[in-house]
Amino acid sequence: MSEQETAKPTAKTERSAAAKWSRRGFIGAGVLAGGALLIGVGVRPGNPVGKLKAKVAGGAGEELVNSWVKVGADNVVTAIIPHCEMGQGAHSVLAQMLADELDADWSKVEVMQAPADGSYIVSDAARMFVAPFTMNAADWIEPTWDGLFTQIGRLADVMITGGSSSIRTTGQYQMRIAGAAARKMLIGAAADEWGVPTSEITTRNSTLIHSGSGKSAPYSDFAAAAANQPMDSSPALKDPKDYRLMGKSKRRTDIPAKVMGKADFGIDANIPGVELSDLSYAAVRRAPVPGTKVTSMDAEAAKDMPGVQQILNMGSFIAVVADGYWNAQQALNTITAEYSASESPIKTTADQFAAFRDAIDAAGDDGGEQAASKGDAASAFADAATKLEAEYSAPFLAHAPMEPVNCTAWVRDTDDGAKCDIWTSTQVPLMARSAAAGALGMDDEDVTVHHPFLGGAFGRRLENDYVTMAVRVAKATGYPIKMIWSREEDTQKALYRPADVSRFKGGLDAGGRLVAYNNIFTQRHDPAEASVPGIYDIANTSVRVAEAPLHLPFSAWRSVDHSQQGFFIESFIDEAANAAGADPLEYRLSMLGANTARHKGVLEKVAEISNWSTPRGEGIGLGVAIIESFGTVGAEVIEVDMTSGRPKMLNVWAAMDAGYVMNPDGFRNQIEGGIVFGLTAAMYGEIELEDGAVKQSNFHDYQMLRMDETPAIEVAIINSGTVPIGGAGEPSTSPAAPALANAIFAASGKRLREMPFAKQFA
Amino acid sequence: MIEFTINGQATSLDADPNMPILWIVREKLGMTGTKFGCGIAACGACTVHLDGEPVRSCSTPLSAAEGRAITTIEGVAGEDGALSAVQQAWISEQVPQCGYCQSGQIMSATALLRDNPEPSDEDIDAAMSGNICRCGTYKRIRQAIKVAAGLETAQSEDEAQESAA
Amino acid sequence: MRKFIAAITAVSALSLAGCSGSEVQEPVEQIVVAEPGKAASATSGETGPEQIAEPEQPAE
Repeated sequence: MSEQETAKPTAKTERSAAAKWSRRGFIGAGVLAGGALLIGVGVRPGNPVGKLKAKVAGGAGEELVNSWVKVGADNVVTAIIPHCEMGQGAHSVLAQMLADELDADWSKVEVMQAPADGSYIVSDAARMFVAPFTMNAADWIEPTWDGLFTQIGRLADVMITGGSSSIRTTGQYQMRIAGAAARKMLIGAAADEWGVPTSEITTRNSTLIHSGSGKSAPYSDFAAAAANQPMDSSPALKDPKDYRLMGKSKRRTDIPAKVMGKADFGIDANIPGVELSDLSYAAVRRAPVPGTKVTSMDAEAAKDMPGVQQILNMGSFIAVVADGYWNAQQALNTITAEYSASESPIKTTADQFAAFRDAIDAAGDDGGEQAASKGDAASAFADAATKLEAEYSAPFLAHAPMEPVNCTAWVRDTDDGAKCDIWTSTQVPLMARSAAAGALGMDDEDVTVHHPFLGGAFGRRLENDYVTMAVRVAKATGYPIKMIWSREEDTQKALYRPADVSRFKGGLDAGGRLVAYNNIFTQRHDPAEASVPGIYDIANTSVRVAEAPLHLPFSAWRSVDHSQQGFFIESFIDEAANAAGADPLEYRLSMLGANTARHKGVLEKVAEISNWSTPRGEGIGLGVAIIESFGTVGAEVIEVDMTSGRPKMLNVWAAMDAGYVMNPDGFRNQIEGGIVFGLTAAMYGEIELEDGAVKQSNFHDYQMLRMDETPAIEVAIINSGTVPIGGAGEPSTSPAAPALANAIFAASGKRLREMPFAKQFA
Repeated sequence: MIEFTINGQATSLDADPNMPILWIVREKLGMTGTKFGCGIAACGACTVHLDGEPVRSCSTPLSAAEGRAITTIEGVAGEDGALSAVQQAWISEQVPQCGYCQSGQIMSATALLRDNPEPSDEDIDAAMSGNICRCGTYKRIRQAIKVAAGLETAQSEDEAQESAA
Repeated sequence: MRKFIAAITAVSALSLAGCSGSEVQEPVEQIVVAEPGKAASATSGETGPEQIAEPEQPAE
């Protein structure tokens, strides 16, 4: 919190902000009847996003006020959460952080999803993420720069949930400050009224206390007056020893509704005033090959199908609108169509991998972009006592969240001009708004985004392709439609974790130490450091990226580049350990470079909880991997039984150091889930190409790990105190595949260099 | 007209008998707790009970419900709103992440425990492996089933608070 | 990290470009078979009301 500017919102700006929310129904909508008051807290007005927004909005003061907390007349504290809830628990934990700094009574804290509004940009997540946009564009993206710059202009509206960032950015730098600042304002108001110094007032359980006079009052008594208090944008935050809620496994606030079937997801959208049974539904089919169009369709049979209302050829997709999703999909299934030819030379999985290998071959010994360089890796390899060469590969992957892609849209003319409302599960509500506005030729302000819970996302819902499709259909019909993708559409017409090939040439010195590390691959997206073996002290390193065409569009997939690079790097390190005749875990410890106390800590911890040094039976092996990602250092050990000839996973142990964990049970749930996600990809995950289209279609051929194959999982948390703290959602995913591959090698001697694994034991 | 009961309520509906129960329940009856996941009975998100037996409602036509009783997630709690033992265990073990699959998981687990009050791990595998959880909460689902069965003690909020090494 | 958001944005833009070229695209072909009835009559109207989610509360 260094370059703080002091925010001094006046009573006027506070009131104008409150008036704005009032228009949006936050106040006076019933829930707050009876004098409840919203406390607006300006947080870090100096952030660049805020400045940009101010320019765009003409410098209106209220646009700089981010507000996160309100206190009701019933003394209920409501935390308004700018992040989406997609299962990661951010709603609850962010509320915990705010409530702790506010000294709020947790039993009287409620959580509310912030609306998709510029007031709720996550400025610190933005600060971490937003680029100077000077990235070198790959060919496939180059034609979109015009569109991109349009988008960048709208990036003033960054409201994004991703990158394992909610707790470590918004939580640490916005919610805690909001809570502490609000507490200070309440104290100030009570001090004025009671005529005592602020230093003599303490707070506890949403109560202000002056012990000298014996006075005490609930926060609600001073909520109105507090809004007129000067606001401190850099209030003192609690020391960890004073935490009452942070670091505690408070139960999640969203879970009761989820066990009663009462939680609303995007697909459950209910348009006010329209009965679900009266709503129209759209089933869609995109052209099967990326970049191609529907050139003609034969919809004769579909016209006579029950419930059909409209049939549309939208150019890049066909839509059938009907009185229910089932009828829409059944009718769509009868439509035959012709599609334009793809310009991509890649038709099959083999073509795609050949393109990767061609690019790597073409780069030769020193071509491609240098991603990391240290010493002289080529000479060191030539001089090495032991040489290792290996090529690894990973396939395309779909995200496959359980809630299929869907979006409900309503585009209409009103006395106030054209308006659009959308209801959808999204990680980027404001970008969804921009996408809808752009597709409709409308202003952002005329589009309202309603975003309930997400039925999984994993990166898929960072994209707005489906929002654009839904609003275009709704524009054409003129009445609201709920567009739902079939699972087949969701699997085949999405955006994907890229496939890739990675080649290594490594050299060990006479003592077995890895001293030469030459690596080249083709896909680099984010994070940039994912491909660099930075935790290890390797004297000579060369990491290069050869540019290769990618047939399917890219999107971030849980852990992003770490999902492939983790497998490549940690498998290769394991091969080096084996070549050195060393224990793989001891070898990693011996290879750790500078500033790796946390890495040593997680390796030692995971060795302890897995009883690493205790020999297992014949055919049973342990494998280890360690990856630092999203600010968290994680090591995993997997125990696998190969006695049947096929891998049976018995146990997974994970030791995770995120610096400080805000909710241990919630963190464990994320780590457990991330491991299952990683093991699913390791065992089964594969999207293949046939005739330029995706071959897999549903869960029968795009398989998930299920209950009977899921190993026991034990998670150890290390609170090393490291700041800034790390993320929870992604760091456990990437170590799972290499730990499993290394365990299979330990158990059977079979080294797996291609993902996925299960089919290699058919 | 097709007559059936849903969550104890007698209902008659003039609807396409071939339409899967999933869409009848969600779109015609407005009960959205039952989820669409795959449409081919491969994921279990749409699981409901038909005369007490778990079925995949995405692949079960309305005609199959004629004269029978459908129970959805909305009908699992008692009439007084009291959560079932399974639902309570799902809370104490903090099972759900995104929660989208959990209606189906709870319907499968409820049927399992009614037929088999003290299931073994193998029994749990057999009954629950038709339900996919993309968030990967299987460990907690297993534990919650054991808690609901009384085979394990529920995790209290305080017990979950031990934290660091 | 920084490229992450840029990539996200770029892909969003790509999607936009792919679907619409970031300008309004009318259907190539639109076949109206039937009117939706009640839903349509419910749609002449004003700006969609802000939908406020039920507040979440800690479970007890």
